[in-house]
Amino acid sequence: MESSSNLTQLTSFLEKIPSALVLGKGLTASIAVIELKGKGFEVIQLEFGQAPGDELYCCLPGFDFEEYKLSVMQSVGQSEVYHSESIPMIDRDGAGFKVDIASIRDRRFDVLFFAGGLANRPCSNLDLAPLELFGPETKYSGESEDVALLMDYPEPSDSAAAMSAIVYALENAKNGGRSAVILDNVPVRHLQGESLYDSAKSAGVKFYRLGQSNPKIQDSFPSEGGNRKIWITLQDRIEQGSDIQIVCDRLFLVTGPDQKGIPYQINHFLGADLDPSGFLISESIHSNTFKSFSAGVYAIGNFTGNSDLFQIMSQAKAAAASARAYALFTNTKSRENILSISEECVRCLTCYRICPHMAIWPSVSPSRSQLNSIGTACFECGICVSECPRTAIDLTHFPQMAFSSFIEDVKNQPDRIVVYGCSRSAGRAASHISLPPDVVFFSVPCAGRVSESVILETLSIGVKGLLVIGCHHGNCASNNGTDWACDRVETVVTNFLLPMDMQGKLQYKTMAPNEILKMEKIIRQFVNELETDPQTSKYSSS
Amino acid sequence: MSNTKIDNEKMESSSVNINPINIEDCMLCGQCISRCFLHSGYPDMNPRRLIRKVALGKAQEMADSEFIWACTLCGRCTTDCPKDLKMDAIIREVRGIAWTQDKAPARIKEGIEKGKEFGNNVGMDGEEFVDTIQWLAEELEDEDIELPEGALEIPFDITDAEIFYVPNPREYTSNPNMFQTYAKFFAYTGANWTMSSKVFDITNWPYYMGDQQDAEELIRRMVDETRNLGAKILLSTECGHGFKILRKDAENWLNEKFDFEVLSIVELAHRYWKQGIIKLSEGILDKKITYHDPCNVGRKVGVFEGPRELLKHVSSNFVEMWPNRRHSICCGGGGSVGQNSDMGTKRLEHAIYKRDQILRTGADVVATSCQNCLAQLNDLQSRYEMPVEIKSVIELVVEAIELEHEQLHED
Amino acid sequence: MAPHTSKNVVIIGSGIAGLTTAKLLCENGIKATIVEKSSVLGGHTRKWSCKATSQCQVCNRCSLDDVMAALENYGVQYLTESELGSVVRDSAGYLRGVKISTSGSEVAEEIPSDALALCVGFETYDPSEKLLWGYGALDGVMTLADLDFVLDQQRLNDLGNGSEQTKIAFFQCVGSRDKSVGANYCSQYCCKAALRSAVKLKSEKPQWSVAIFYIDLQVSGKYASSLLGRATESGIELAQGVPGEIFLDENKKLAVNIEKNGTNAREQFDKIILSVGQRPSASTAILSQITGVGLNEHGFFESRTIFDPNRTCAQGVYLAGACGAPMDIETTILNASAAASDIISDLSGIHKGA
Ligand SMILES: Cc1cc2nc3c(=O)[nH]c(=O)nc-3n(C[C@H](O)[C@H](O)[C@H](O)COP(=O)(O)OP(=O)(O)OC[C@H]3O[C@@H](n4cnc5c(N)ncnc54)[C@H](O)[C@@H]3O)c2cc1C
Ligand code: SF4
Ligand code: SF4
Ligand code: SF4
Ligand code: SF4
Ligand code: SF4
Ligand code: SF4
Repeated sequence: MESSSNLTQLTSFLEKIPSALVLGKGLTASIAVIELKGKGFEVIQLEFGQAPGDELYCCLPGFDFEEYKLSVMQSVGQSEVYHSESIPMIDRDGAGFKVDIASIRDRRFDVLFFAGGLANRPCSNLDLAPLELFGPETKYSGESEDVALLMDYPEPSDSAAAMSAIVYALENAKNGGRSAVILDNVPVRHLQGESLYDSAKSAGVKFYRLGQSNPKIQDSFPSEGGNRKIWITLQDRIEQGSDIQIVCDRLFLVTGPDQKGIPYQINHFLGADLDPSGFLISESIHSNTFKSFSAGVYAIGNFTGNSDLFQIMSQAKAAAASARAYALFTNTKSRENILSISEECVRCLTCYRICPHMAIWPSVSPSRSQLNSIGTACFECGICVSECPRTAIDLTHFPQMAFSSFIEDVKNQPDRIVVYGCSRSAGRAASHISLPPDVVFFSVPCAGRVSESVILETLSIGVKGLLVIGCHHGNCASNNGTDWACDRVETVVTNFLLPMDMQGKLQYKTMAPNEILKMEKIIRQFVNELETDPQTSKYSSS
Repeated sequence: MSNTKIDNEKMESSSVNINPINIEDCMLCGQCISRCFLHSGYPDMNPRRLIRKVALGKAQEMADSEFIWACTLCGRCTTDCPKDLKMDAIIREVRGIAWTQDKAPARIKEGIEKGKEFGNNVGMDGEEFVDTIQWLAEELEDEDIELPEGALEIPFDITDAEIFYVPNPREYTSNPNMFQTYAKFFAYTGANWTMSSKVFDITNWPYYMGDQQDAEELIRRMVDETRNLGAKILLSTECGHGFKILRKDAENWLNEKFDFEVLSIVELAHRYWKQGIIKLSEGILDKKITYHDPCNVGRKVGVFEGPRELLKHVSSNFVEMWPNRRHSICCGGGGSVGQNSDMGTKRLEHAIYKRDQILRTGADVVATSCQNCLAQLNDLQSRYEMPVEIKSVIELVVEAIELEHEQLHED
Repeated sequence: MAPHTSKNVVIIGSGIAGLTTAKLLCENGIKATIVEKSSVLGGHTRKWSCKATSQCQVCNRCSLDDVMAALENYGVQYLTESELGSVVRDSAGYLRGVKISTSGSEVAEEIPSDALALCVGFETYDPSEKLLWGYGALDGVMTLADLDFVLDQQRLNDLGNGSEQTKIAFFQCVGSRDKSVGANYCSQYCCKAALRSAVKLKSEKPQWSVAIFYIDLQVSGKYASSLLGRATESGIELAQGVPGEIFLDENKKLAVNIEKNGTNAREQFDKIILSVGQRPSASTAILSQITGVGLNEHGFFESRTIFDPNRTCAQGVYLAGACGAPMDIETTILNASAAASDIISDLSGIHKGA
């Protein structure tokens, strides 16, 4: 392809060369660096601590890992790499980032990549002396051995690691060794997973299914010399017969990356954006495969609980493309006035702490520190607006005025039922349904924008009922905006309505954007409940 | 630690390993468990568990079990098996272990020994056989059927006859009617056929025992005799496993291509009907008929439509059982179970799925094309007093031909 | 955002794969044209339901709505009821354009194109082929897709038998991991989808009993603790071994013979849900002819190497989503983003592209 002309065509609009900071070392970091460079980024890599190598598995047979690593190292080429004992302070600098390390303190990065490796987690409930952990560096020696590989014990193994272990078993069996795989579920990841399982079986690898009772593992040293033997006694769940004994020379335990190895500072930096097992970035559709909730922050590889090389390559590519888009966006769009912070601010830092997108950042200066909004990172969810104790913040496209004039309108139409719905879910669905006559729907940027004062104000004008609809818990595009709304509704119900036996007139419900019929149902039910509850009709503004 | 002795040379403690076909391929999907009609009869055993035991080196445990003798080798459990295992082959391997350890059922053992000595499992010699057959044919001549002179004479050892017909021993022992039916069939169709005074048993009991060597020997004899006689068609009587082996396995076993055709008499009847050699009016038999697919003829060989086309044509009302064809439920008497006196009447208790399936059709007649099924279905009929008649396809065809003839003469 | 370059990428198929590819390209300043065979956008994902209980179960269905909303900001050209007719290459063999035929119009329109992304997805397996499961023959045997429809229509009560004791079973690997139907691969999405649906059913109808019959649960990593945890907490029975036959018992109820706790047993169910697998779309064979992209042994598009899953051996032609291998939505989004990434790299020429 006529690369030079293409290059200028495609990169010229990037007003300046975008830059990335990759935190981590090892293969994952290198893959990230390559992908970022491929997108025109200037990349600085920061290796920190005594981080272990990545636990990355290529889970299909016939793959030369060493050769692959070599090719990665070659493609990385000369990179700017810095080292640090621990993770330095990371700061936002506008839409970008700064890092507190002497040599690069003045550099500004458009995006931040967490791309580190983790060690495998040890076996938590076993005092199994003869056990070796199966890692990516566990390479089959080429000599036939009697080997057993224990996985899904006690919790499910990472499937890529487990499949690599099966590849090991297969190679050993092909070389005349005896391989036993002891597991709960056979991993058949990827299109080729099933044939790997097939070929392992036909090469003579024995698969044992863990039964109800735990396998017993012991080792012994023959008195007259010779090698240590490991004896595993187990019951096969399918066969359900008498104990089966496996005697082998080596026993591997196959686990997965250990989230405990993620440096505390990184966890802290990403705030609540962790999945239930403690890996970086949530188990949410808005932050899972590579993108975090924090604009400009990406995580790939072991840090995200992933150890499948294929998937990590995709993660790196996807993250790099997304990062490029982010850099492009922040470098070409000025969204400075998306949010305003007034003089009322007392620097309590509430907004900074709760913004799910890292879009408010304090700038500390000796004279007067202040809070800055980062327009290109801001989702305009309004969570900060709702929580600021000084009502110092306001959104430009959805100002407090918008609420006020809506409430003013409704005031003149008594007996209305008001529905505040998140624009992402209810807002989109609302255009597809017809509302009951006395229901007025008002789309808000995020349920998190429905503040306690908005709720109280709305109730105070004498509406028949108020329904707040957010996205399902765990599916809020601003992570917890919907949970904020839920809490506020509960607070108002308990503090203001419960004593008056009016709790039915204020409700909170959740839905997904595609749940059009559900929305109809929610509203119908709400209206019905209001109509059958004699208390509510008596309620009037105080 | 349990006190099991450990053989350091072995990965597993148990010592009997067999490796029949692709047993390691089993992915433990469990589908076969549901499809076996022995499910309630043997609550602690099922096809998957058996395969698992064998795969884990515990074949001996299975060789000592009753399950392998209750299994009819019907193969239904592994129809649609995701990994293409064949349960009948696996069971035969396991039975093979028992067989070599002399643990096979007495009646079967006796049959195999007779087969080796006499060439048939009832121990009849050639002379006696020819006499019996001729006597059966003479009896037929007394019946009032109009046929050209000599049409009912049974041809023996005729070289260059088109068809070499091999019967099932039932035809000259317990169920002579069947032979007479086939004799009439040949007569009515004017077939150019012969029987042999040396090879006259289609069955292959060593096959049931996983005794490959003896099984091959029996086939060898049949093939050699076909060549001796110069027949173009080696015709199997209505016998499931006998036909299946000839059609599906024989060439592989003997590692040669046959220069003659292997047909079942039902296929021949269908062919004759298609060719117009047999003329039958539609719906001539005023009966509600259903068809039981014998496992060997249907599932294993794939003869599904021929018998159905015939039956649909002659019957005024043909109904299907569900499930049918490849998924037909075994009659419960195959795979040596019907011959195995050690099993007592268990084969009838195990066959309730078949019973219910038949009853649900509301048919008057259950037709089938295997004499083993025929016997089992007859026993089922009397055991459960089912309001049905059990007939072979050829019986019905002959009945139809005769009715046709009668009606022609009334006019 | 106005496109920054004159580059245009034609995307065939508007499923989550096609739309995600388009979104990332547009965000990077590259124009996209989406060609969709049917009259609606969204592919299969559009048909699935939300599985949220009191919390989202991350089925990713609604990411479709997010992608579609995001795309509204970029002037993407949509050609519905249209298909790829041919590709136009210059004398050096480089992709220059494509010809698109739209139903109702005689002539194929030529569109300049610097890259072509194949995103034609998959087809669901028709389980009536495996007769003994009785799909289409027995009332109450349905597929996961049928269940999604019921859930989407808010008609959960249709699944019940009127009493409290409704029993529902899921059968996994229907039409996947099964050589007898020519699909010796795992469909990757169905264990998780069945678990989510089961959790959803249990949360709406706690008194119902729900069982999942599986071969090997493909739930590891991130979802092992949360999804499996939720399933076991909500009392879903996880049973290894998939029954191979469904029949009507004497009470005219769906029944299966199974092994339970080591003993053969029979169980009755009111509804049995078959977790049907993903099959290559019929389009793959046709498009393979047109574009020169090969098919693998299973009938999915073949990538250049298995380690480069989004590039193909045809210059300028990429693939994304379930047309390359069965996958769930989350993986499809990742995979399609990677495809877009490859296209961006190759078009900017920084990387040596195809
Ligand atoms: C029953 C079922 C339930 C599922 N539930 C979930 C779930 O809960 N969560 C989950 O993550 N995944 C689920 N999946 C998987 C999910 O559907 C796929 O991951 C996803 O749809 C793949 O997206 P795609 O864009 O690659 O393909 P598709 O969704 O198949 O989209 C392909 C598009 O291409 C179009 N097309 C096809 N041929 C042509 C052509 N020749 N020209 C132009 N256009 C063409 C099609 O019309 C379609 O719009 C489920 C799958 C099934 C079968
Ligand atoms: S929450 Fe309000 S008062 Fe507190 S720091 Fe933010 S803007 Fe200032
Ligand atoms: S509106 Fe939302 S995204 Fe923007 S700064 Fe406030 S909390 Fe953050
Ligand atoms: S059906 Fe086949 S693969 Fe499945 S358990 Fe039975 S033998 Fe094994
Ligand atoms: S009886 Fe039939 S279904 Fe049962 S195990 Fe034997 S071959 Fe399989
Ligand atoms: S991801 Fe799925 S479960 Fe979660 S809200 Fe969206 S549609 Fe519902
Ligand atoms: S994801 Fe689960 S149900 Fe689907 S094919 Fe794979 S193993 Fe079977």
